[in-house]
Amino acid sequence: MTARGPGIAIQNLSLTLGRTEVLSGVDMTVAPGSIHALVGPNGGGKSSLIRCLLGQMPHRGTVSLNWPARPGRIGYVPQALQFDAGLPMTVGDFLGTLDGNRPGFLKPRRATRDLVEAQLARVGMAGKSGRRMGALSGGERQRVLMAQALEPAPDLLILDEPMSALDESGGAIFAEVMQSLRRDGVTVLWIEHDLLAVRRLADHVTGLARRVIFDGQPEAMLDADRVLDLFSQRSAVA
Amino acid sequence: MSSAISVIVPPASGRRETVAVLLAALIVVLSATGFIALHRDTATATSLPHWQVDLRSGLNAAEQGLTADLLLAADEMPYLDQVTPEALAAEGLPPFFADATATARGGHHWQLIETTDAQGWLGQPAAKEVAGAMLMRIAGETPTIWLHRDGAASTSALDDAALIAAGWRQVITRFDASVTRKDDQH
Repeated sequence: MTARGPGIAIQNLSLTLGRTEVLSGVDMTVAPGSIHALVGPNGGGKSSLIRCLLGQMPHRGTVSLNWPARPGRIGYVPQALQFDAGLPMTVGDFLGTLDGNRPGFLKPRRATRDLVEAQLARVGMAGKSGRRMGALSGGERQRVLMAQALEPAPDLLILDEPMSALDESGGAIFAEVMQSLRRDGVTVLWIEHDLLAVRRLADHVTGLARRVIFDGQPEAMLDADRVLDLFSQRSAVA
Repeated sequence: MSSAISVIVPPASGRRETVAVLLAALIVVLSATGFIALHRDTATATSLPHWQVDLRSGLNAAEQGLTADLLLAADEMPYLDQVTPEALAAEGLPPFFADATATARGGHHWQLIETTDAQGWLGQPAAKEVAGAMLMRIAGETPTIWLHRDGAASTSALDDAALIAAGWRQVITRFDASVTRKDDQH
């Protein structure tokens, strides 16, 4: 299977917000079609790195996406979605608006509704398109965000802690989705706190605490010493 | 791969937007300048012949007031039986009615002059320093106002040539010189 996702090359990436140095001198490469996990402590700059990649931060250094052919589609699952819980917007409205060209207050086309159902079925939420977004549990909301990122099919998928609120069955579905993405040759950059899941699903892992602490195969990298080093204060201030 | 393409992710900055806004502002300023340059119009103030005087710049306040009142009175005259100054004063029509305003405007004494083709109302001021002699001539339906700064002026002929020869000047209104511009014709 040839990778249809891009390779990512990050060279000497630094980011300073105000007087806080969020990232300094980060060098990192993501292989095309691989599942690359980013681990690290809170405030280690993982989300900032992703936002640099999306072009939303005033970074220094070079971030380049090396697409195999022409630039493809980037899917993004944010850590959380901010909206008023009382918003009268159903899951179907949310996905339908993203899928179709029709404004959300109009009844969606039959094809769009079918597509939304298929998307929800993929993340194990079949038949829940009528639920109000505000009434969803954290895990369900995360599944909906995952569903929106998977349709239309992305070539690069960026996940910001997609499993943080997932229950066990959600985790299983997520693992399944990751496997299918790997089969399709999609490049996945994945921020995760669950190190076991990283070891199970990722091809490559980078430990990030303002700078790159370690970088390599999950089996080799995720040992006790390195993880202790990564999550201790020492690495953060070093 | 031969067709591989590398995309550098640009840092987020407002540079492009700043340039676009500045460019838009520049375009607006340049097009406005161009428009003004192309539509430049020099206001040519027509100079008056010696026998005419401009209402706005040539008359003092009392004379302007008298002119306005005379022209209003001319509008009333078709509805009146008699148009002698006395009859007009009896109607209470300014400037013929002798009141405080008439006094303040020079206290003119009015008399009616009639020729074959025109009627004229001649007002000679009691106070020459306040206002000059005023004459309203109605030939046909159009009233014209004439001014003579020598308060003792009198006339019996009402045609243009005779009035001009006697030193009367016709009061006219010009619309080409704006009130915001200095009119130095007089």
